[in-house]
Amino acid sequence: MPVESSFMHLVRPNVAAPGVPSATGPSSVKIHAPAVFQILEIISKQVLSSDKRIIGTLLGIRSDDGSEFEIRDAFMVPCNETGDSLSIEDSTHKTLYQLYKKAHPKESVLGWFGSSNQIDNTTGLIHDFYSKGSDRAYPYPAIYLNVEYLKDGQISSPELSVYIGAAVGKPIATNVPIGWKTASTNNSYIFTPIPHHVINGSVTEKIAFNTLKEKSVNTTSFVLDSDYSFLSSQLEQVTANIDRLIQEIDTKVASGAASDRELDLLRLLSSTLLNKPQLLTNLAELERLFRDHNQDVIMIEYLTKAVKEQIELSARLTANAEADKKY
Amino acid sequence: MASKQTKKYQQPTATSINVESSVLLSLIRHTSENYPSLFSGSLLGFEDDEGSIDITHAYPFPYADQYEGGSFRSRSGAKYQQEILDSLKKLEYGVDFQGWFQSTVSGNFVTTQLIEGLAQQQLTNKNAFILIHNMSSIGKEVELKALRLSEGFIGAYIDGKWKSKDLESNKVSYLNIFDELPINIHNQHLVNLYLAGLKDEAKTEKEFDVLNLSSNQNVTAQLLESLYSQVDSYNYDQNNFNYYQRQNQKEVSKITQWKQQRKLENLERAKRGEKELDPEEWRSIFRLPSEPSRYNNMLHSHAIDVLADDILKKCDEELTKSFAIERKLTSAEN
Repeated sequence: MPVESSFMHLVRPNVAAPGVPSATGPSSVKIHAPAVFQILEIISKQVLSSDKRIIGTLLGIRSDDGSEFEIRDAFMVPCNETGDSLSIEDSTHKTLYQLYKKAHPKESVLGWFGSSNQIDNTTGLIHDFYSKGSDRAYPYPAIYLNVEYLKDGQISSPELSVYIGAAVGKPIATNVPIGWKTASTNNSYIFTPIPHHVINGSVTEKIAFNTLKEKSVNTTSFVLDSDYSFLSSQLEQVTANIDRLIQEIDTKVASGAASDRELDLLRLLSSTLLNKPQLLTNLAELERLFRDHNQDVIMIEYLTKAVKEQIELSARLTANAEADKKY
Repeated sequence: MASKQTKKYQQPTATSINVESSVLLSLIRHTSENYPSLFSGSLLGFEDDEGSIDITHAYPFPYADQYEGGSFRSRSGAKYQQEILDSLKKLEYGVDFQGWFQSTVSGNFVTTQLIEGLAQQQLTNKNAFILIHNMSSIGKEVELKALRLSEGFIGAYIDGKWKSKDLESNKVSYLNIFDELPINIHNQHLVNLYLAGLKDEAKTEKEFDVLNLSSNQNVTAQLLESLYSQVDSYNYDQNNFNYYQRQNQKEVSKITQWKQQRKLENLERAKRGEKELDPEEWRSIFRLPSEPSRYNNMLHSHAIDVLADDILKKCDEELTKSFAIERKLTSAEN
């Protein structure tokens, strides 16, 4: 889901040297669909009335130059706000991260996520926690993913936005306990929005994602089944696509308002269709090949069925033989 | 085989599995990214009041499995599982261990390790189950099923002898080792809102790979190879059994002979007015061989059955496509 607004990056912020422009290009973030779902599920737990902040850690991979992020997973970290100060349960973050790291050795902490309507002081505080210290994003800049799902007190379609934060001002002394608001520390950050899009890692995942999208309209649960109907539903989709294409071409031809690009596309389509390998014109040969192929497949089916039935036969005969034993 | 069971088997109460959509996606991502390595992990969640198990978290084990079910009984796997559970408890998630997931290719998941692990788990936790991700159609289709060992199988497992009459009395055969549970995919409302807000994206050719004529070729070959090796193991086991049957046959004919003789002898004795000899004395003279365990035979049979079904499915798809394409190509010319 590419974000509509466009981004222009002049400076890529950096934690190590705040305010110093780095030579590399703009940052971008890929969010894996499972991570989005996980974040949304965690955020759903927020109790609106008590207005307790829900935050969590983002995990994933960053490219070598630190300009590209892939958010692959997330977990929740409890935090408590009391007045002006904030405490994040560091130990939970640490254990969960260490456990996650065992199963995913290549991944590390990228930043954090939250769900608030605005960037405020607390945002900076949390960002400070994630920007410094071991087991966190340091020495790379942390990213901040915000899910906004409240509009004027009404729950609406969640919107994701990703920021990268850069510290401004004088760096803090190192001996200050991290995550605690102390009067003198500097935790001012500039949050620069960066583009993001949601991706699916593998094809299987994408198929699952599409199934989710298609089946979960107006319902919160559906049954997952795998049978022969999958092939036919895929076929129907392709047929529908072709129908749509033909209809599109017809309307364009009728109105005579096809643009150059569309004409090019049509030329490409027709040349692909007309340009076929030699083999396809040799009907007799083609038919022979198909016949051979089908016979091979049928042979496999036949033998497999034979094996299957042999097994069943053997099981039944053994059971009978043992039941008929005299002694 | 564990011969003595102290735990008592309780009938499962859950009738279906509810899986959060995020769990579904991250599970599929992990298993398909690591294909052809096999991976397993724990499924965490809770039982709800309506007789189903809700799975809200899935955590893969840190290491790939060498064979299916390898991590279930390992100490490191169990430790990892416990640590995850402890940390989630701290988050006040209220989740418990509910089952495992395992990636596999078709029927290969029926290993003694997996069955043993699952059986032990079902004896402690009546609703334990396993989610099998069949990778034989990776990139084409999502094939997941939730299984647990049937009551009959557990019964036979507790008996631990696996003789034909035990199987008979527990009404278990290779066809009903497992009970399958329906899987419901559940979305949180926020997830639903998000999904509804998405624009339709163009689908790429890759997602229609199932429609490609030759897309099943490699898979079918791989499945057939698995089938061969399962059949080999089956035959190995069957040889033992055949040996037993031959031995049994021999002994039985000896006994029949002996009985015949004793009968004649007794007739003679009766004529002479002497006391009859005991016709049941053969029991102390002959020893019938005992039937070997049918356990492996059952597992291999089940694996072969699942493999055969998958191969047939692939072949049916292939034939459907092949005939359709052939007709199109050859008729267009005329």
